[in-house]
Amino acid sequence: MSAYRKPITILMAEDDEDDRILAKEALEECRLANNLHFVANGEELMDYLHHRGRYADSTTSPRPGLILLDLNMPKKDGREALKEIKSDAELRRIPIVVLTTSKAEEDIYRSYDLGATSYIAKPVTFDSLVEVMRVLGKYWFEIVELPSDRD
Amino acid sequence: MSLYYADIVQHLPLGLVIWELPDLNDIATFRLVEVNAIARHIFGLPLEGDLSTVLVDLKGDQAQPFPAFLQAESPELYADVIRSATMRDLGEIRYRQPQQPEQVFAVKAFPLPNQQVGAIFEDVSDRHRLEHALRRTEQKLVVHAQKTPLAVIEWNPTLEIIDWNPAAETLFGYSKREAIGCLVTDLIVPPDVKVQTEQAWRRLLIRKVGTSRTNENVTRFGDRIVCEWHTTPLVDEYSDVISIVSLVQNITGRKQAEAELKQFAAQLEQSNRELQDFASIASHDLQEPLRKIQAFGDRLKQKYQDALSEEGRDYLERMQNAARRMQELINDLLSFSRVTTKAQPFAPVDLNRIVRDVLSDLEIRIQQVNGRVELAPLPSIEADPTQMRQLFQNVIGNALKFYRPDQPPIVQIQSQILPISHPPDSLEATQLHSDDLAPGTDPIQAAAVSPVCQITIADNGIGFDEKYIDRIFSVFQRLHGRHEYEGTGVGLAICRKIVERHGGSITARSAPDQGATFIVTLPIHQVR
Repeated sequence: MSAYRKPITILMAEDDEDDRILAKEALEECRLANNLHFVANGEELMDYLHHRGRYADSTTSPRPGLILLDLNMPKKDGREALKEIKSDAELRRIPIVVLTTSKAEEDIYRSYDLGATSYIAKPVTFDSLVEVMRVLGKYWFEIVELPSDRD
Repeated sequence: MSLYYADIVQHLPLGLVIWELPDLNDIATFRLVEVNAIARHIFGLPLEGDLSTVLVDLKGDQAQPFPAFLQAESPELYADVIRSATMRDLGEIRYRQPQQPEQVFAVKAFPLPNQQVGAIFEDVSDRHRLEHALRRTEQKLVVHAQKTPLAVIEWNPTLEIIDWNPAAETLFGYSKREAIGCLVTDLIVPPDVKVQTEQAWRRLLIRKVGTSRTNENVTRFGDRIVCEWHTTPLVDEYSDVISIVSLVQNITGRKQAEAELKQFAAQLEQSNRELQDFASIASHDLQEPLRKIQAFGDRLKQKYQDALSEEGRDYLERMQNAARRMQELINDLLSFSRVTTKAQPFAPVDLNRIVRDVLSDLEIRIQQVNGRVELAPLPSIEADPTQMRQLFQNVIGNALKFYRPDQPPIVQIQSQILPISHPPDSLEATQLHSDDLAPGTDPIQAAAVSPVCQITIADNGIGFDEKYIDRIFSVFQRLHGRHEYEGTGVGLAICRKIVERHGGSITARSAPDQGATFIVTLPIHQVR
């Protein structure tokens, strides 16, 4: 249906290297890893989105079409970053999927209150992680219509 | 007698009697001259008329000038008054008329001219009764002060000790003789609190109301003790403080015990909190690396399975099984700690509905094992609905798990209301008492607060030896190998924690191959 669609950039904010590897492999399994970028904490995430520092070049650091956000990260955690993005007129349209180990109800409520698009608890097995990534990719890149980039 | 004086005599508020003794040497010649109105009343004589006839009549034979109760010794005494011409105080005379309270008269006899003697009778009964009562009260007080285990100290407004009972001697080590005359603040108040104690006592003298306060004291032997002082100022009719009475109790031991208890409770709370923190932090933080072990294990298996030997694949399989098991243990530990951390408030709960829901969740399992659950009506109680569900899920689930291979499981659930409240004693909960099954066997507990319901869940399964009763309700304790029956051994520990949170108990009766009966006792109402 949208074969000519420009491939969408996925930006993952995740401090844990293991999880970054696993996420990358899971996305590779469903052929979604071509435009995958990583940041390791909330500050880096904000730098990336605002093209600051080493993310200044928007050809190497393109505006993401989807953010996968971990909640518990050093320096600036996911909750703060989520709040900042959702209160920024330029950035708030980017869908944000919270992907975290926390199943605490207050984290779930809070994330949706702050404007998260979805909340997913990190699956235990690799197979279910692949499944999650596949469904996410299908939903965001095939089913829904996203606003066109004005970046 | 002139009319004027006669009138005075008649209206005198004292009994007045006048006799005449014509022959000083013969008391038989005594003759009654005058009896005033009060005296007639006192002696029960007619208020009017000639008394000689009345007295004759009273006595039966000859005129008696003395009323009956004066008869015995008085004539001689009265004669003496005339002979010596001196007034005499005849003391108090007790007199009891039939059906009347005893009366007491102070009697004074005085000489009159013409060989006459007068006697005045003053009714002192009321004063007498008052004095008597006072004496009794005083005696009682003295006895109390002597015998009481409280130190009784009386001191005057200048803080000098004026009384000191035996308990005070024992408590402070000073004898009464040593204590009296000393300043109370010098004797038993440690120097460092002297000023504030003095201030407190001076305030008491000004306000003149009793106080109770805790003071630090020191004994003769230098021991610091903590005492409760109940102090009352005694005031006179002008509201001036006459003295101050203190009842003193040594509460050093109590204070110490209280402090120890408080400290113990704080420690316990601290360690409970640590335990809970530990359980939930451990559960969360242990999940992370475990998830990695599982995920990379999955990757290893998927990508490099073919590169591994048979043995290598077996190792990998075992590693992943162990990781899975660790996952179960962590999850169960987490649910165990959630019994207290995620507790919901108590609400009315229909246990019939709870158990029906549980049975519907277990339906597939029941079909798989060809089992049957017989449910008798259950009561509604105040409880945490989620935890009740968890409780029955675990106990009924166990009954469906530990069945005998030759016999499909039959689970019977029954309940009864007991009028007594079992103490929520955690030891009790895991010990077997044959009495537990017999309601109302302990009359001492019959007066306890709330009725309780006893629910029994009986199965026909493999049962267990009752010597393991303590073990089955403890965390991660199992009676069977993991390959025989699955599970981490936390289910019944959770059950116990739930019923204890509800102020109830859980125990079981069983024997190997004889089935098991779990007995859950829960209060119908929760104490708020």
